[in-house]
Order: sequence, then C-alpha cells, then structure tokens
Amino acid sequence: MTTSRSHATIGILRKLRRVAITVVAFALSLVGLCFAWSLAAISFDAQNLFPGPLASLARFGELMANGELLIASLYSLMRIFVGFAIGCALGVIAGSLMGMSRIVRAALAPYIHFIRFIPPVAWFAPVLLWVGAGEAGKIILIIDTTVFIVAINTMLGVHAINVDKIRMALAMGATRAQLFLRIILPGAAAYIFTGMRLAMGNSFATIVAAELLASTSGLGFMITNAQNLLEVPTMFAAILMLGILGYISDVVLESLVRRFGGRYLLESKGG
Amino acid sequence: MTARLSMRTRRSPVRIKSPFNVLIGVLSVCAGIALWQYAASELTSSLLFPGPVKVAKALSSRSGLDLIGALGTTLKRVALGFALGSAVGATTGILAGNVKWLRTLVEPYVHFLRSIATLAWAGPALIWFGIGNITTEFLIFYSTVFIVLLNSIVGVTSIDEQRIQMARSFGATRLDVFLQIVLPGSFGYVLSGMRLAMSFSVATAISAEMLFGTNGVGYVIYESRLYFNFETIFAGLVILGVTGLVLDKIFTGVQFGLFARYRQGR
Repeated sequence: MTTSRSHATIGILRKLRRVAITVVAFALSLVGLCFAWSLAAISFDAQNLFPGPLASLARFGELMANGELLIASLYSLMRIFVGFAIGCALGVIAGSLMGMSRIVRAALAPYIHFIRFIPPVAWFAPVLLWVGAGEAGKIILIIDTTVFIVAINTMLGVHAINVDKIRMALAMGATRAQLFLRIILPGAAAYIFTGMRLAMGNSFATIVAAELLASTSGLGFMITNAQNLLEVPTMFAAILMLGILGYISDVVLESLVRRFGGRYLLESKGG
Repeated sequence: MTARLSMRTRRSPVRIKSPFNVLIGVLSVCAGIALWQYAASELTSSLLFPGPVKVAKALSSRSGLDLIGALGTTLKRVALGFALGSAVGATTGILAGNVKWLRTLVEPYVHFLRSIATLAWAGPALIWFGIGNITTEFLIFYSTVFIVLLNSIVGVTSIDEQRIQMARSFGATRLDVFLQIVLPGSFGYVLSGMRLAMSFSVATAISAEMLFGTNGVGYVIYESRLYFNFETIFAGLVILGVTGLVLDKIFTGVQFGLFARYRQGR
C-alpha cells in the first residue's frame, strides 16, 4: 500500500514542519527580545539597576553554582508543600462532604464563599502576632490559600459524577468506604487536580508575599535582601527561579488533570 | 454494610437557594458566630482574639469609618490597574485568538510570566519606580493582564466554527464575522477572566499596601498589628471579605444578567 504510506509520511512531515516553524519563530522572538533588552540595559548603563540578559543569566548561574538559589528555593518549596498538602487534604475532605450531603453544603457554603474572598496575605497580620515570624505562620497562610479553592473544586467534581454510577455501585452492594474510594474520588479527581493547580499558583504568590514581609530565608527574602543592596541581577535570578518552579508545578498538575479527565482542562481546545 | 443513597437522586442539579438550604445556612452562620464569641471570651485572652461583638463595635466606631475611607483608596487603586490590565489583556487576547501566528508568538511568554508571582516584581519595581502609586499600579496591572489575556484567547478559540462558516456563507466579510460573531461570542469569557482577575488584583493591592504602602486597607491592617489592635485587624478582614463578595456578585450579575444573551450554548 504505497499510497497510504506516503500519505502517512506526508502527514508526519507536515507536523514536523509546523513544529519546526513554531520553534524557530519562538527562538527568533526570544533572540529579538533579548536584543532589545540588551540595548535598553546598555542605554541605562547601570548594571546593578537594570542588568541585560547576559548579566542576569550570569548571576543566575553564579547563584545556582554556590547553592544559594537552591537553598532559598528549598525553603520556599518546603513551606508551600507542607501547607499545600494539609490544605488539599482538608479541602478534599470538606469538599467531598459538601458534595455528598446537601446539609453540609448548605451549612458550610456561607463560610467558604465569604472567607475565600479575604486575601490570604491579609491574614498575615494577625497570624504574625499569634505565632510569630517562623515557619508555622507561612504554612498557615498556605493552608488558607489552598483549602477553599480545593474544597469548592472537589465539591463540583463530586456533583459532576453521574448519579447512575453511584446507583450501580450501591446496587452491587458497595460500602460507604468503597463508594468513596472507588467511585467518588476517582470520578472527581480531574476537578480536584484542577483545584490543586489553581491553588498552587496562588500558593506561590502568597509565599512570595509572606517572605517579602517577614522572613529570613526563601526566595522572597532573597529579593528583599537584594533590594536592600540594590542588586537587581540577584532579584532577576530569584524571579527566574520562581518562574521555573511555578511553571514546572503547573505542568505537573496539569498532566495529572489530563490523566484523569481530559475534558476538564482549563485551556482552549486548541491546546 | 451497605451505604444508603443519601445523595441527590434527582437528575436536576441541587438548587442552592432553596428555602431549606438558606435556613441551614443562616443557622450555620448563627452557630458559627456564637462559637466565635464563645471562643473569644472563654477560650483565649480577649486581647488576642476579638469576638464578634468587639469587631462589630470596631466597625461602627471611628476606626470603622477610617477603614471605609481606606477601602475607597484601595479600590481606586485597584480600579485603575484592573481597567488597564483588562483592556490590554482583552485586546491582545482577542487579537491573538484570531491571528494564529500572534497567538503562537505570545502564548509561551504569557504562560511564563504568569507563573511568576506578581509580588516578586515588587523588588525590581520599587527600585525602578520608587515607593509610590506607579509601582502599585504596575503590580496590579501585572496581576490582571495575563489572566484576562488567556481567557480572551480561550473565548475566541471556543467559538463554534460552524457559526463562522454560516456567517460566511451568508456573505459576511471578515470584519462582519469579527464584529458580529467573534466579539459577542468571546465577551462572556473576557468577563469571566476579569472576574477571576478581580480577586487577584485586590489581593495584590493589599499585599503591596502591606509591603510599602502608606494608605489603604492593607496598610491599615498591617499597621494595626504594631499596636496589637486586633479589633481593627478583624474589622479590616471582614470588610475585605464583604468587598470581595460584592465585587464578585457584581461581575456575576453583569456576566449572567446584563450580558446573558452572550453566553454560548446552554
């Protein structure tokens, strides 16, 4: 079947060509932007206040090499993960309860739909007074950031499960636990991971804000420290690191969403 | 042990506003407030954790009026940055949604910049623009623009291809299609993006005020901690919650009430 094989080859070649064009276009745009950036940096002629792309990358490499950037990232990530884990656990439990019971939902809804509008950073004021400027305060903030989004999304996910599935499971004699673990959790998983993805983005924002305000370690502190020393290259390095970390966590969570239910993606159909 | 089908068995979605649910909600809130008062007065020192009565008193006192004034300042700040960010985001997004090469060009940068926590830019921005409104507006703009942009792109790309083809088959020009089909169709998504971005821009404004502001609700709340003034702090938090709720309701009202006919499908 020579005809179908050449059709297939043409298809693959076309795809490759499209990808190649996209990559080349992106590379060109990146080079163009860096060029414009370098020009701007040279015209300002203040390497410490407005570094060009090369100076920024050099500083980034420096800070990676001496471990400062990695240590700061680990501090920030540790806070996020601990708070995120606790917040997601609480959120999934609360959200599932709300999804399964009309009464629980009606009872918890006013709290969730009020407290979630209070920016998490605002809570930093009382939290600082109650537990001081240590790790606990930041973790509490992350819990606050995460729990409401995850709860709401979990509830939506539980609601979205086809009621016939539940009926079928019950008809086959499923226990409460089996119903929850085998039908409800997997069914709502896509929504839960979507909520987690949203919450992760917010968590990064919150942790940076908290570290800028009251911290002696972490990426936010790195930025504040650099601010006091008027060292913008270091700030750019921290910002780049934040971008990388945020992007990676977003990609990871998005792949989890895709794995469990592709149609719940937040992006356009075009991908 | 078999589980009972205690979940909804009707095919129709649970109506949130049914009288029964509202009653449960009201009872729950009353119980919550009572619990709060109990916890504040019996379980901890009332200096550290004000009860609802104290907070209500703070809200209705002089500091309450100050807080309302501060709220006005904050909202004015947010309004400017939010408007700019939404305008730029929506325009760029709708353009990018229509023009394929623009979209491929813009998307990777938008996704990367969006991953960077807005307040991280406070560092460089403070050095470049100084402590003032420019920095705050820049941060608020930054927090809004990418969300609105991405949502606008989704709005344009999710328009049913068949509608466009139908319009073309009736002799519509490219411009007609854009004005009559694409713009109204993506409007809902743009509003949805703006609604999402609203809470972020308020949060950014509050953070900026806490960090380097001299007025606004964030500043007042953060300053009050220096005097251990928990009543003002909590009053501020309540005001923030109410503001967020009201703003969200406004957006929902606009999106589903005023512009309801621009909703696609359903």
